[in-house]
Amino acid sequence: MSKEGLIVEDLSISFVQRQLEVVTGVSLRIGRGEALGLVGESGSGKSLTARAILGLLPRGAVASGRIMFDGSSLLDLAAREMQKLRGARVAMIFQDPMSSLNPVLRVGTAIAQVIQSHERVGAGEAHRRAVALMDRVGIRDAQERSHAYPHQFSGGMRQRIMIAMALAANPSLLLADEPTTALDVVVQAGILRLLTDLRHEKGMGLLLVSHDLAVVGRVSDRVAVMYAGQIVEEGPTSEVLFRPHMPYTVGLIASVRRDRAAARLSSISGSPPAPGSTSAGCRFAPRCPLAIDACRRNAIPAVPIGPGHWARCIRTEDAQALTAADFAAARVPGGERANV
Amino acid sequence: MTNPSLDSLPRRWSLFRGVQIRLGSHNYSFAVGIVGFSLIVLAAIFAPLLTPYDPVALDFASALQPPSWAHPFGTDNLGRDVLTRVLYAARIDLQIGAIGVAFPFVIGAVIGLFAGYFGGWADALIGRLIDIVIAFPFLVLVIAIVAMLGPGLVNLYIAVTLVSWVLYARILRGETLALKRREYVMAATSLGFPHLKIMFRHILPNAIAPAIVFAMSDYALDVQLGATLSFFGLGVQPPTPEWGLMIAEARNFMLTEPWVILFPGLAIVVLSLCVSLIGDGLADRARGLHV
Amino acid sequence: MIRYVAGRLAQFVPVLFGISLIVFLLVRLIPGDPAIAVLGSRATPELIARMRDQLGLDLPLWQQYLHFLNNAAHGRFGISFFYQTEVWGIVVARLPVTLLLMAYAIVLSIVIATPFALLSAIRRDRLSDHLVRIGFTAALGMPVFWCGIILALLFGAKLHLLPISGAGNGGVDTLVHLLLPSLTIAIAISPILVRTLRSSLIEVLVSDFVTTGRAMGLRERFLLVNYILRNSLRPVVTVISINVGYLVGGTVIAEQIFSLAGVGSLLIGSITTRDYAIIQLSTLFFAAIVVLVNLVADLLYMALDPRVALDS
Repeated sequence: MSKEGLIVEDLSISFVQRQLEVVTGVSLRIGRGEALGLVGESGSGKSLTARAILGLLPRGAVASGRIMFDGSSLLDLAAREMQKLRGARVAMIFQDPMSSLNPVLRVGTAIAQVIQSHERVGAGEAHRRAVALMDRVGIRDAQERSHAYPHQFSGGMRQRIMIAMALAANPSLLLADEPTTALDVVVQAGILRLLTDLRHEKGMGLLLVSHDLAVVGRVSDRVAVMYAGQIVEEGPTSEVLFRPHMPYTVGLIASVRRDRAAARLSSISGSPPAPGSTSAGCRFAPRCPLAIDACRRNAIPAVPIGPGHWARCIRTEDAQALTAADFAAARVPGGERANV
Repeated sequence: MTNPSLDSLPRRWSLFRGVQIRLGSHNYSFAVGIVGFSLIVLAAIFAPLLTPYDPVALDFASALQPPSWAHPFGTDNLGRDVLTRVLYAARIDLQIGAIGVAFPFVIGAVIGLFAGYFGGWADALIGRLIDIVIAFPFLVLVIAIVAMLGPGLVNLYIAVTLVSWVLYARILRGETLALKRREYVMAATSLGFPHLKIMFRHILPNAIAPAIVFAMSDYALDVQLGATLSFFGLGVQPPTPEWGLMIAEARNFMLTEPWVILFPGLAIVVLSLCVSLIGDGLADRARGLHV
Repeated sequence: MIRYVAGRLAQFVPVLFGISLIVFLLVRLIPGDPAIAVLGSRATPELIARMRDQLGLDLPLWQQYLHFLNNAAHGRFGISFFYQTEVWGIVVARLPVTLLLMAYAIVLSIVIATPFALLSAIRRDRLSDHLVRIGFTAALGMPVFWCGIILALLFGAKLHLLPISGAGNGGVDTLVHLLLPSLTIAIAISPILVRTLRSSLIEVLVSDFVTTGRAMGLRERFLLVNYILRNSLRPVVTVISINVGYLVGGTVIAEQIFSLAGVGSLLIGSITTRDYAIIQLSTLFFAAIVVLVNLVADLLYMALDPRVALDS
């Protein structure tokens, strides 16, 4: 097995003080140049998973398991080594470009500083390359605009600037945490196109975290679906999106498609379990129309479905036949809870 | 989470915020502060019982003795026991803090309350007056007034009152302006409640909290001010014991007998610390109560 | 931008008038006949008459004020009894020392506060954080004059390391002479700075853009200076501006203790001599300094935050 790329094995993330486990046993693989979409609703742990890779977890959160990149273990990397890795081999972009860019720094300088942090170049040369990068990511009049401050750009432009910063040191893997969530649909398309172009140009790997199936579908080669801190289905994009085998995935996709007859957005009734409150069995069982006793009792194994495609469910054959109506009707134990 | 009323607090407010003595999830600042303060007050009240010496009696034979069992804080150049003087001086300094806060508090709070409530040109005028007085450095203005009136404790009180009332007026005015628009006040007004009742029953209890918290830091600052002015000969006059005055009197031989300036100074530090802990504790609770 | 500055300067004027009014009223506080009270033992009938004339005491109050303003506009603020010359010259001559001392104290307090605030913020809620906070809170309770004489005692008298009086002969010598007095003042205001800077740092350390900076693998020095400090220092400007009155108070005390020829020691000295003209003008100057520092701080704040400057 090639050691290249990202290998995450059995990653668990807990908040130590509150003794809450928010991510359980997550395993991912991203080969060189591959794009993996990580999809899930808010609170599923997808952002934390991405952050754990670069050691950017919030205060009080601890990760365990194995994270390997190009053969080196990332979880016990020394600070100095981590600084060298970040940006230069693995880079990350974030959701809200307004708050994610330093407000007192001119954008050209910000990008140049990233270059200077990883290579021995002078400020002038770094700035020149920064301008070139800005141009590459689609910012017009890059030379002039490089002297402007973040608040002088629109949301989409700021995201492009952040992409320029992330690419400044030529990483081979880019982690994108909800990069288009704060942007409107038209701008979104532009950013996604840019990411795809850059990927192919540089042979760069991509981990795209999003709650938006459409976004993930457009860019990724493979998709992993997360629910309540676990990966519940994974496979090639077309497989997962058109032939989902885990009830949650089915419900997710169904809720995206408008129900033509009812002219209403359908959704899965109930809400995800609070972190730390889960039992050994399937975490989706309370909301699943197919749930049986066996689902609630034991830990559910990863059931293979096709080449590179598996689902964490013991009733995959029946899952495909589910419709949106089945989810709306599923009863939640302990009474109905408001849909979030 | 911004609290508009806490943000409108006057300048010196920012001096005292933030030390908290925590054990587990409880904030013990308030408790420690109150206990410390109470001990000081009790020590001051019961000074005659705690020490056999006379704070003003001269005894040249025992002059400038270092700390010992007989004289835990040593003696000064006139043979007076330093511990005794520190305890008796506490009476004066505690009083300076109390009066230095009480008068401005009451006067300022009332003026601020009325100004904020009734609005109009009187309020605008008072607002301007507050802005102007605040432009003066506190110490400078107090010194200038004392210079005109003459040194002495009473004049010190007059000066402090003349200057400090604006700080309380500012708080109350701001709070009143904000609270005036609350529903329960408008309800009371529309029900025809008399103005005074609304002001004192509905507005004042809520508006007063930040003023009380501020009063704690003001207390400590007034004690320091009293000590400073006495140090420069403008406040308490000898032979009355007062911490600042004691330090001034001991200045000439502080090289060789440092304990005479050390202990009075420490007394000021300890009192200030206790009071600011009380303030911090109150601020914590005020933050919780203020919606 | 220019409009904003002009607007602020325009606000300055009515406040200045208000200050002059208060300062004018100051002398009228004197119980009894101000003329006699001011002259004290020097009182003779002609001096009293001249004093009454100078103070314009026979005129209605508002006329006296106009008189006062008119004189002020011509730089005539009265004659000092002690120095027997126009007070304007005396006070202005002493201004540089006071201003230098204040500036020095501000710089020193920032230099002292920053590393401790950083330590406190980074090791939040650990032992070092608590020690720093308690230590500085204790420092807050130390009266300025006490700190001053103890520093003078320790470094001047006992260890003979630093001079404890006078302002030296200019250049480095002056800086050395002003070190202890500035340190005294700095000890008084750095607790406030540490507190503010610590909060500000804590906020900035977990902000999104710092996380981005880390994610990009920025070198420590870029992160610390450009991302963390440059964004945390803005509230410090505000806090210093708010507490400048306290700073001035400390300066007056330090000048007196370290025998510096500034406006503060002038003020204190003229109290025993009842030199009302000096007291009046010194007070006016100090108030004006406060207002000016507030103005400068506002502008500085704007300069530090590109978002504000360009909006107006």
